Amino acid sequence: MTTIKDIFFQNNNDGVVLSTFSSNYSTNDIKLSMENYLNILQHENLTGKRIGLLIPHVFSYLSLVLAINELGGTIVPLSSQFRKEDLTAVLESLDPHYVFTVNDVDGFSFSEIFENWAENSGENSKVFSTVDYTNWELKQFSGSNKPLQEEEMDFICCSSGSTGVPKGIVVSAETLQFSLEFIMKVNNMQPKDRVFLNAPPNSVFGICALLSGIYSNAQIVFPDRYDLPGIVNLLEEKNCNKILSTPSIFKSIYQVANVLKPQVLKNLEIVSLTGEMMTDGFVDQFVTMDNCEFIGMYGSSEIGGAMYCNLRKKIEFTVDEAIQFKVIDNELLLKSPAAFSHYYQNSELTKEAFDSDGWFLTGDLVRQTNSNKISIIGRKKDMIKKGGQQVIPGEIERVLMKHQQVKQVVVFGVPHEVFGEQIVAYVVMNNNENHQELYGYCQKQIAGYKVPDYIEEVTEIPLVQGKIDKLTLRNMFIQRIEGGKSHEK
Amino acid sequence: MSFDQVAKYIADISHVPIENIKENSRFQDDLGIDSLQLVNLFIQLSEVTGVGFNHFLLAEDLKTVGGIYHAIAKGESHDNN
Repeated sequence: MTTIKDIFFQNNNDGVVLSTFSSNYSTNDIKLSMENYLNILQHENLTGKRIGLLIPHVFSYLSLVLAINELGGTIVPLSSQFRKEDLTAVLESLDPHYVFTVNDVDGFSFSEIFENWAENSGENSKVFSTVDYTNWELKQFSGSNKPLQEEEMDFICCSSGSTGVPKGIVVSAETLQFSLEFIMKVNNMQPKDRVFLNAPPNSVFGICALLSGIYSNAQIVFPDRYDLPGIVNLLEEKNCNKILSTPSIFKSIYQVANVLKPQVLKNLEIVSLTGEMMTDGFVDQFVTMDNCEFIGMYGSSEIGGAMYCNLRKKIEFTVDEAIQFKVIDNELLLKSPAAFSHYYQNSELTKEAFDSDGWFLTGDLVRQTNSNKISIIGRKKDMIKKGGQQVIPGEIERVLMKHQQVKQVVVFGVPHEVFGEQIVAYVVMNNNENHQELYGYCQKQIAGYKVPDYIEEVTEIPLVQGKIDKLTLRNMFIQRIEGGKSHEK
Repeated sequence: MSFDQVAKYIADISHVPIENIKENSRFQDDLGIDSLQLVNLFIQLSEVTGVGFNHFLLAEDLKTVGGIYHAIAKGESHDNN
């Protein structure tokens, strides 16, 4: 078996490959930390077992990823933005044998959620928890043995599913390598680059981008807390010359940097953006960055990096030479060496993701230009992209419907100046209950970025020709906002 | 603009219960408002108060409600002169 270490540790460079707000790390530091975790796990047999990682400290996270992969375990990266409802759904769906977790984040106790879940599962499981990432406390839970996986899986990455059951996207180290090389090629990453990265480390893109420092000897600068003035200081301190981010987050960085430290923007040679739809002229707002190259990248956790474009021109994507594409009924279909293998224990969903000839159905509606380039015109799948994060309306609808005072709900996305898109929920309440408490309810149940920005109480969900037509509802809502009739968040 | 008015705006924009918004409340740690939401909050506060966006970012204390309240007061005084 080829491990991540075999693929990505190509050299013994002692230069810094990862920087955070508080520390700098070389490849050797990461190797030493990995060896420390190999020691902690020396008596554990991880083969065929799933190991959940909820580790916001990115150095410890990366070291654990490498150690678990060395020992043949399957890594299940978990987001520290999860809250009770979405985290529990992932645990029930992916059922890890082991969990490594930080005790709490912002007062929310993850170890308590994991321990309660393990206790109630009635199965053998182990939860390692930490406060300082140095000392780990192990709690063992007894019961029946969970079945082992027969198939080798390096990663199962979580994504929201439209049915409420999270999707486990199974990817191998080899497919990560392809996506990583795509990121390096498109952004011309060189050993001396200082690349600011803003991506969730639990996503396929985030894992690839973090590993790209080790692979290429570039210095990845990763903010381990989301603090915009702090980020601007970090860009200055590390003298970053490239940025990988989402359009909405870069726009906010630009607004803050332009006031606090305009020079950090002038140092940038490449800004590479992904995760949200952009329109022609998007980069015109960055008026102080005339000499910077702006690149758009297109990809997904399922298919990896696939296309890129020059955002200073008309937005038309070039498909990477290693990837095959075709357009059927305006939908983009791809075949890629970076494609995932399947959705974990969900053959039906896997079957739906591909056509009968093995083409991945992206769900993106596109137009193919005469020069074989691709313009994205919309989405076939019902998905909101807020701040670069994907939100499935069905998941939010299900959470709101679990509230005892909610009778009916519909959730959709509308454009937003800062977030790219924002989330709107129309709710019908039982007994004229006040809907304002639903904001607090959602904040306790789901990740912050999934909490609706507007929850509007209505007496009935408007139907268009007998069914809920989200496109019409969306347009109605936008007109109301523009008319100033709605209460602005 | 009084502190209560600023707190009311913050509550309306961010959906945090107004009784939780104190002068020493920290946006991220106490109110759960992350940095991207904070930029959105500043843009909207700038619109409703008429105080330039720059005044928010140049505040001595960006992390607390009180810091932003003082930035608005300073901005109003600056813009009126």
